[in-house]
Amino acid sequence: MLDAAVLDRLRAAVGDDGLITAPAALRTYACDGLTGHRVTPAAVVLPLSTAAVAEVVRTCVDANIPFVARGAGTGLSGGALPSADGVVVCLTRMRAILDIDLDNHQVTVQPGVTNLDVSKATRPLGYFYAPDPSSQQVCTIGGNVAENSGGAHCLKYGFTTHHVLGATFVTADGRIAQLGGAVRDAAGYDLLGVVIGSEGTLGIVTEVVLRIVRVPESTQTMLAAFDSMGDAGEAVSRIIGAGVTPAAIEMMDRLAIMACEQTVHAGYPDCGAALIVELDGPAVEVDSSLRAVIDTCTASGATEIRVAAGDTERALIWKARKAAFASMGRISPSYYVQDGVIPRTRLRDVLEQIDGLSASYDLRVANVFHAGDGNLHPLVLFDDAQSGAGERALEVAGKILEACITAGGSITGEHGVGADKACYMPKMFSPSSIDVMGRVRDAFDARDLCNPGKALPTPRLCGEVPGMYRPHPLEQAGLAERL
Amino acid sequence: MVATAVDLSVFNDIVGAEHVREAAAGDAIHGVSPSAVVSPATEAEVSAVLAAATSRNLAVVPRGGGTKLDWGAPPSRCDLVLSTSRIEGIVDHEPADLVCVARAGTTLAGLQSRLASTEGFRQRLMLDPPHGAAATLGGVLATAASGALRTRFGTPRDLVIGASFVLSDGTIGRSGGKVVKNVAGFDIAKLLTGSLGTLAVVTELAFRLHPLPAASATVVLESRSVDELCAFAAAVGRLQVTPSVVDLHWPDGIVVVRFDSSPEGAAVQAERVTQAAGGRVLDQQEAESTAAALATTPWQGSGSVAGIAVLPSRSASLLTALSGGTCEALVLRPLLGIGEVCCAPDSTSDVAAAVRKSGGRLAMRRGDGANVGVDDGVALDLMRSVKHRLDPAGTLSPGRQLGGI
Repeated sequence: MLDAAVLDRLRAAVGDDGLITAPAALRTYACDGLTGHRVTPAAVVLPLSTAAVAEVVRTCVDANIPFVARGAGTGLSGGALPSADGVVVCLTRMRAILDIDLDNHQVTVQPGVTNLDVSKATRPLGYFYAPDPSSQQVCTIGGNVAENSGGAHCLKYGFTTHHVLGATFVTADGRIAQLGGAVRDAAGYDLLGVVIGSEGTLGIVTEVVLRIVRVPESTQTMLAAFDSMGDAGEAVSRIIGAGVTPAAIEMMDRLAIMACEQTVHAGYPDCGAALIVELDGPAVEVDSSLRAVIDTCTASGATEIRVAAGDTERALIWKARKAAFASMGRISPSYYVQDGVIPRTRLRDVLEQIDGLSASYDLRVANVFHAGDGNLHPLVLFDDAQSGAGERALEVAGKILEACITAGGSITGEHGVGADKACYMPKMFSPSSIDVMGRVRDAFDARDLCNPGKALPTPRLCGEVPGMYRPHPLEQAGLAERL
Repeated sequence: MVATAVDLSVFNDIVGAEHVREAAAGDAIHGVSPSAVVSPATEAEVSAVLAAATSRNLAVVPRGGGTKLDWGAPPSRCDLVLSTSRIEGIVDHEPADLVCVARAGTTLAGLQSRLASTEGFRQRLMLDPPHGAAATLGGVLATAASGALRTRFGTPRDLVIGASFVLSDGTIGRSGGKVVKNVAGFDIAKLLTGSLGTLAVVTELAFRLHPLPAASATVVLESRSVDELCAFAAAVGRLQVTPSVVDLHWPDGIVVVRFDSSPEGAAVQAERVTQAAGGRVLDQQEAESTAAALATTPWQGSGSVAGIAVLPSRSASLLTALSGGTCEALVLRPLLGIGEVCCAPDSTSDVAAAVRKSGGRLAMRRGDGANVGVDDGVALDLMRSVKHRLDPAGTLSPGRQLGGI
């Protein structure tokens, strides 16, 4: 429980209805999309303005209380996991689109605006916001900035960092800074470049200027069936190598297709692996690229190719793909989602290793992923009623990550490091590299109050083995509860 | 300015005496003369040189091709130039991944020719900064330099996916990696982009590549009316086309729009522009000669050059103010609101006044003059804090960055 004087000051900043302290209500904020990690915060505030966010931060700093910014809480790495003695700064009430400036191809939004709402507001005018994480219906722009979110179409359009021009930024000591802006080429260091993707550890973004993109003239979506993941992976390498840049290339294996068919009935072919390839741009260019992709898939052994005849068929193809995680419940009581990246050319090799791991641990692994940029999402399926199954699933997920690192890839392509993977950072970066990142963090937040314990490893957290149900030190000390 | 005498023996021991030499007149950085030029060949040597310099309180300015030493303010001190000329070569290029890793002293031109000639794959790093022939990858990153391709492909920050670097205390760090999609750790490479050598010496960079286009088509609109040129560019921006280049050149009075695509794709987009916005399609020969004639705008003269930025929609009003004789030559990317302007040295303050009036920014890139820009005090504090944490002794390029950082 926070000191009464602190609560009074928070209340003054956010109003009576903007402060949550009732234990039952606080539990709503105990976790993000990584539900295995739960810590109930001491208080939640729902500010309405940049000034209110700054006052909340100053209040926390003066009282030496940790704070964490939170959007819709859809993150999958525990990046918005609270501290038990800390404050959650929930930005979902700051959800106004402040300006749509078509002349300059940009919009200004508050951080609580959902990703999809930016495109909804601009599409009737002929523009859209390109980054499209799977959670785009609910996830917020503020969260996207924190995580440098991508999505299926980032293969062509790039990530959040390529689409943010400027931000109003509340520093970790409660001051207000303008980083970048509507006019390009701000003088000095590209602070925005390091703030984006810093998982909320450097400060809180309260207003964002986004670049919007002209809606393409034509979009074509096709589905190609292959006997094996290896063949499909080969086709991906050849498509990219041939100089075609599709808007998206997604891959699903037999198990994933089976699960999605049970949920969505999209009519995917019964095959070892399916590729979804989407092309967009000027119609003539899309048509010639589509022919090239079809030829490449055929040459790589595709057994069937379907091109969506219109928006309805296209929507159905995507519905199945986007329902993949949710559909796993049809075929398994539980699953663990991994997020790793490999060079595209290593797809066949790493997928074979995943097959091997699946066989040797006797656990099924469903593969659904952004194949175009080598971003794997193996879903390790297990039955939590079986003793030890969860631990074995985590072991498989961990070994998959190690295979990604060995292949020259990364421990996370889009879900972030958060609380979940902080302890994997030393497998990818040398101690001195992590030290440099720590110095940058200190430059922004010397007191270590702004989302502490995330993104970078700390001895306190990483003395233990990473795992899904790892007890938090505060929990062990009886200061926090896991619900 | 006369440099202090420096005992070079420690640097001889680190890199070999043949790679340490006393500075000559041409080694001055923006008018500030160093004592010596040290040329390490490896990351370990860079680390040792920097640690030795820092412990001796010597200021070090990294230098690549030396093509953009006028970008940024003159250093407040400069004892050593650290040349990256021996930190050279491609480390890794997997063509099917469209990724390459190269050492920081590799020239952009050298890299491009290697990438364009790889068997079965013709690729390119989509950066075409000024003075690109001699420019090195490290220098291009440190200056955030870009050219005509920026309209479609962005700046170095948009294409760099990983970096290895050395801090002034000798700490060797790496961020990112060699995969395009990666959110592990802080994106230090972006922080180093445009840092003007004040935070670290970059030793190796990984970049995202793009395939060389199968074909190009160029549309131009020529006019003496600034408003007509800007209206044409804005109209192109509203079409459902994806130009690689939309450049306005003055006093040439021309907007060049280039499409890089499949042969049909390029031709159809060019045609759409002429139908909807005007201008004419050039045949290949004329397209090449036009591009060649405009390639060095506005660097061809000897006047002062500044980088400018305004809201894209303010391009026309800024251009109107500059085109009346204030500037000698300029190139503007109207869809982004950025460009470079050349003027007589005694006109820089007039250019600055016009930029200020348009709510824009200006940074000198050749010659002397005051920069223009809304400097946010809190952001500047954060920048000082970053500098202090990464280079507490102030060894690296002191004074080159905003606010004397």
